[in-house]
Amino acid sequence: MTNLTFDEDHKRVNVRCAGIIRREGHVLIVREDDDDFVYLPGGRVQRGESSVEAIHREMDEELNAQIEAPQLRYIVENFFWRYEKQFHEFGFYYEVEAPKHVPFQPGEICYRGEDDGKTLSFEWVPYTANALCAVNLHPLSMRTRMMALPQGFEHCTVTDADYWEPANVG
Amino acid sequence: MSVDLTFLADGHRVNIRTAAIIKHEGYILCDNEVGTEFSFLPGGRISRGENSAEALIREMREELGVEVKPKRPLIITESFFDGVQNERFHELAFYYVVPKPAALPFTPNEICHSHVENGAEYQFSWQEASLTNLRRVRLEPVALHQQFIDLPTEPVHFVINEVD
Repeated sequence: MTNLTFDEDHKRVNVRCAGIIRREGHVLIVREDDDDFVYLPGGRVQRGESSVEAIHREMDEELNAQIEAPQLRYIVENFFWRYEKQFHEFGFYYEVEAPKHVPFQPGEICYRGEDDGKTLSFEWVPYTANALCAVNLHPLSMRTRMMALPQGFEHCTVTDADYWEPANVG
Repeated sequence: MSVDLTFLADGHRVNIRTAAIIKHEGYILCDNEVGTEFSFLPGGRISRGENSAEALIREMREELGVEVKPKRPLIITESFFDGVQNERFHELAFYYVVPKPAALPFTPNEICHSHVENGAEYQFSWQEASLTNLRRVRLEPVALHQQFIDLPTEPVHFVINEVD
């Protein structure tokens, strides 16, 4: 299948889905290999696939979780810099119930998975902006949006500070 | 140079669009490309680096010569459908409710504005917002007719699957 990712030079258009998995004041985040940033579990939407189908597939692939009734919470038109690329991303964020087999052990890696040959390490992190900054959650737009989720869903457009001048941002 | 968000992926056409729901006195503004049988809401493809609201402002200038101030999209869709030339589409669309621009004449049932772009002529007309009429003018997507007639009170997201 083909991912909805379209590159031209250093510009990337991307359609992504992610799961917001919360438990007792924490949110589940994932790190690929030894990246210096983390993100919410999920991945790229594929051609011919809806974001709803994609979130089911990604939760199965990454967490071996068969989820039920994911709730759309955010649709974000997000502009940011990552992997030496200027991203124009459409993000669909679904609230997903915590899979029962993923242990709740804040402060350590609670689950490991694999995706495309990369090691995925999952951790529960307090969903405050400070804690999510400390673990370098990407995209930045999600750091302040995990504590209070909207009723229904919210659409937002967010341009990160590093979108235009990546060299100036640590 | 601006690049439209339209891509070929495995022979499927992926499009990312923005559109305006402009209603007035029970009518809705529709756009028909002369020589085709379908109607659409005014709008067009988002360009790379541009958000859906900015894209709508630009499209309304280009197509209708009017200034609009879109606030938030009311309907967001992911659609899967086949085009007239057997091309399969995967489309993301953002629909904004926009008040009728004062400069746009309200002349129900006749062409109120036309616009030529890349050799094609587009005619805009106010169409009665009823199921029968929207079906008659073949406004796409059909799955949203009811939403266009009775606008949702909160933003909604739909997956519209018109293929197997």
